[in-house]
Amino acid sequence: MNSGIDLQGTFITSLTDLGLPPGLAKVFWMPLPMLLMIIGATVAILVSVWLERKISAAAQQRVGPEYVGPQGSLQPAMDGLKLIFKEDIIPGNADSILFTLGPILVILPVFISFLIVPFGQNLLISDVTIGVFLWIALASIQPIGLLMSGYASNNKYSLLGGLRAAAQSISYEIPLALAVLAVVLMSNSLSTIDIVQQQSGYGILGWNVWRQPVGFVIFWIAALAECERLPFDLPEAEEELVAGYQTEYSGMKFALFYMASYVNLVLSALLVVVLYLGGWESPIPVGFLADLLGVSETNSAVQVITASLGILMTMFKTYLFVFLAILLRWTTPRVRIDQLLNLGWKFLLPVALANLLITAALKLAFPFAFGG
Amino acid sequence: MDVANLASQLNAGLILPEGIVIITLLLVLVVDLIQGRKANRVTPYIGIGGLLASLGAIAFQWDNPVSNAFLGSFSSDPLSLVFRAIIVLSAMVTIMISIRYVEQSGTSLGEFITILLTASVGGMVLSGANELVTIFVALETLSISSYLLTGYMKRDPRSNEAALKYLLIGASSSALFLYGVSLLYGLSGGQTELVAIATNLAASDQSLGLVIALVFVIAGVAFKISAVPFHQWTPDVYEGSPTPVVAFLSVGSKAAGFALATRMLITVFPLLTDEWHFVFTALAILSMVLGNIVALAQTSMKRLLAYSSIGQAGFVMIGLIAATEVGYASMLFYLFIYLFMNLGGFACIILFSLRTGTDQISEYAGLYQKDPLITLGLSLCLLSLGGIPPLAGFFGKLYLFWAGWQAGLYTLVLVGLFTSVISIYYYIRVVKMMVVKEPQEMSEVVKNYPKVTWDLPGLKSLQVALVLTVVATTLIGILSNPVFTLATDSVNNTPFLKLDLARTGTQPVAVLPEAIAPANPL
Amino acid sequence: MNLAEGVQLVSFIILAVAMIGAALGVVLSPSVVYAAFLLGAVFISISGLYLLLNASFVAAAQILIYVGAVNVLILFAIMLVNKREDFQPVKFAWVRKAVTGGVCAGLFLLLGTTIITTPWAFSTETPIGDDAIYLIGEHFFSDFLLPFELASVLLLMALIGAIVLARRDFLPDAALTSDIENLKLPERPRELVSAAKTEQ
Repeated sequence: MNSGIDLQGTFITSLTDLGLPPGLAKVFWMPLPMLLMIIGATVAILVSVWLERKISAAAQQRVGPEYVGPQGSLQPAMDGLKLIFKEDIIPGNADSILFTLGPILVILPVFISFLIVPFGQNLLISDVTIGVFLWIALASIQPIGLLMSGYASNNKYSLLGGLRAAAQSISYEIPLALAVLAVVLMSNSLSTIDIVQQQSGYGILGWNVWRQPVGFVIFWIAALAECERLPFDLPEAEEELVAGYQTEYSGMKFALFYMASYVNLVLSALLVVVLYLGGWESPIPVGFLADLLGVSETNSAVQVITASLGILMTMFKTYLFVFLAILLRWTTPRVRIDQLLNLGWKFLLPVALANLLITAALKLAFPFAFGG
Repeated sequence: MDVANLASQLNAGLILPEGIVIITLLLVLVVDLIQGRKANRVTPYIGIGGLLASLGAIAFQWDNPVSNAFLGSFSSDPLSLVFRAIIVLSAMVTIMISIRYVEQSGTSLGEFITILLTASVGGMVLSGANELVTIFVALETLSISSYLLTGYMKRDPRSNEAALKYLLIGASSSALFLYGVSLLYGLSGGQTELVAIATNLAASDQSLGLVIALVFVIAGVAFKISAVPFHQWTPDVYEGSPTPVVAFLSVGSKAAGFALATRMLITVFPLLTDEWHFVFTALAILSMVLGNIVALAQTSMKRLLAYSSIGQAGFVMIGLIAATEVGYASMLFYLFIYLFMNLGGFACIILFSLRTGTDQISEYAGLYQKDPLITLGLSLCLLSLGGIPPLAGFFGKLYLFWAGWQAGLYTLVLVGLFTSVISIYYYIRVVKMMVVKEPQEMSEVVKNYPKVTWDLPGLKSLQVALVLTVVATTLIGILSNPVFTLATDSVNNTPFLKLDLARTGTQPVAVLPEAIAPANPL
Repeated sequence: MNLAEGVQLVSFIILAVAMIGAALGVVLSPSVVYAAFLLGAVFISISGLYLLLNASFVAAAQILIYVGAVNVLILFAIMLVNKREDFQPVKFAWVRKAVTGGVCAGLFLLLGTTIITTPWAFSTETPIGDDAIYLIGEHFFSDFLLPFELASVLLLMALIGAIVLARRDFLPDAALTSDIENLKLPERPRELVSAAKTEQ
């Protein structure tokens, strides 16, 4: 497998050429991808918020935002500015420390999870071996933040919303993890890079979605529930709970919740793409195209094109799923809390377990197709 | 390591008895799930059948014991076989005496049997566990099932209280044990197998850390065998929890604790033999004295048996401390007969409380006139617990004290003799209450005693269990020699005990001197 | 000391201070909710220590199990308990606290002395680092097979036990009126829920 372009290597070599010790050069390198990823994630939020508003408008035969920027595309940025300047209210008798800490605990794990999202062979912050497991582990911190903000608000709706959110989050984490496990079983690795590589080579035909259709559906349902997107947005069901754990929040703290929910959506879509839709791979393998055109794959121009195409492909597929989630939000009714828990525990969990078992059996029976 | 090679090294057949019990519990669960309430007629008998099969598997292994399975984490030597047999038997008798009780209390029977079977699996694995992780997981399986069983009568506040107390104290003792075990892991340079730990510890020179590890391990073990001062949970838990559960805890769980103590202390701490013998001597004296003296003041039958079981644990410890062939053999022998006499006693108490709804000692007054079977059974079992010849308990105590005397534990034996005289007093008090009273002195409950029938579902098996245990209690007294030979054999054929006996330089003693052979008692 | 070692030392100090501070908070905090949240902080700090020890899988598992499951469960239990109980201030509470503190300090000194005086056997093997997952898997299916399988029985039983303790029992009407009236147990349920009366 060729390694594609190695930005880190190039950067460090050029700095050491300037006379810096390699250790120091690495220190200079390290914040760069993180910064880039945070900026990227923030932009992704703005894009998805804009998409949400536009698509919801289209679904309701409205125009949606249109004055700020072309097609209203700067509207989310303006919303953000507004939220920054709003008064930061801490309700009376609320526990101010926990009240502040809650939103931070909700958003932090999501941003850290971007550590493992790959956009290309070397285009990720860190290729840790525990890969997707890290994401699952980090996602499990979120309920603590939700419970914290629900409790600290000193409001019964907030508390109920927080409890519901935590219950929902922990019950859907299990089918989610089991679906991921089936994929991991096939790729023999938890690393996101290895998972994508195992799907590469046959273009669209090699993607996991064909080998894991059930797991794919389970993963997507559970991911929607984890993001608290409609049809699973019970924690903030406005008819019952005002706005759930967000009720008392305003200003930047509310913005943190708002951002967390959209980053989480983008992250889930990204992981669907990585786990089931071949990550940065194009439907037609780039290597095949290059061979067809008679260009060497190691040619630097081809490498740059491949990398850009990889990023483009990842973003395209991701936003396809964001679009799907938004469409679902504006077209489906909300489930009831008992239906939600029943679906999670009595349907998704057994199906996910069966899926895992069948995958293991298939792996033993057909090692060439299901990872040896 | 490829799969076929691994499978041949595992010796997985050695856990066949445990496997049978696990399959049985799954079967019980599935049958209960499918049939619902109707399954109550079947599930207990599936459980009993499975345990019988498991007992058969244990007997089958008796002739070719292997001390190494699962790459060293389990050993199926004769000692573990005896302990596993004791645990299986106690679980079996417990199921027999619990059917009517559980049904009458309005809780579900299938789950009760499942949890009880899991507890016995935990105890069985604990008896043979040869490695720290296995020991801990088995210990937790046993403990957590016991907490659940204790709180099984969830509408009864006393059961809830008992379960909570047991859980909290049990969890802290588990934590202490785990800390001690982790110290052992560190001190031995990252070993988990008991033998390897002992080897590494002997090679290096560590004193303080080892002593602390020993203290913590003893704390964990002493909690399981409820030795004073780790006994505080016992009376409350015994009083609050369902009576069949108490029967199991006082026999099965305790036997598992002794199995753990024997294997772990002897294998891992040969360097500190004097120290742990000293600690156990203190524990034994305290248990015998406190258990038997506090039992004098009890008014509830369950509490009486709770304190008496603390005292009995003290007696059994004499055999462990003696550290001779006869000592270990008499410990096994005593645990074996304790199984029958204690479970027999509990069978009678359960039957009495099923018919009258009380377990106060004063309510037993004059029972002789109304229910001779309970009176006879309970009297025999209590007298045997007290050590009246020619019942089994007498010979058990005789062997224990004799082994202790041989090993030079004069204080311990004297304390044992003295406290068993005290124990005879409170056991006989109950017997006297039942037998001697005139008709006009009968308690209200006994005056209104219901007609004795065995028709209700589940009472038959209770009757069978009662008769069996009482007969065993009586007969083992007269026929104690084969059982004792069995115990001695198992001690002789167990590698780690042999090693220990060779190290301490105890010359093997001929089975028993004629003086105390059962052919001519006294 | 090079850069990496310096970073490691600083991270260790930060994590250790955070962990000890949070742990003290768990014990000393009068508010049970704060104690529960601080417990989460302790778990996260421990996971950070595992990361420093190059055990990334254990670190992630620590977060997943202890923070994501155990701590959330504790918080749930605390938040679902509706009862507000005002406890009587205990007389001479400071005596108890002083005794507890003394015992704990003594234990700490004892264990500290042990750690310092013991000639620990340091392993000379290089840490396996990222390949730990494979090694853990191999251990599970070779020398730790028995505890691994036994743990599944334990978990099954814990599951059943939890359901048994948590569910409401419904007695069929027939059982209520049948002949068990004269046969009472000390443990007999005080109030029975009839299946016919309740809708759920």
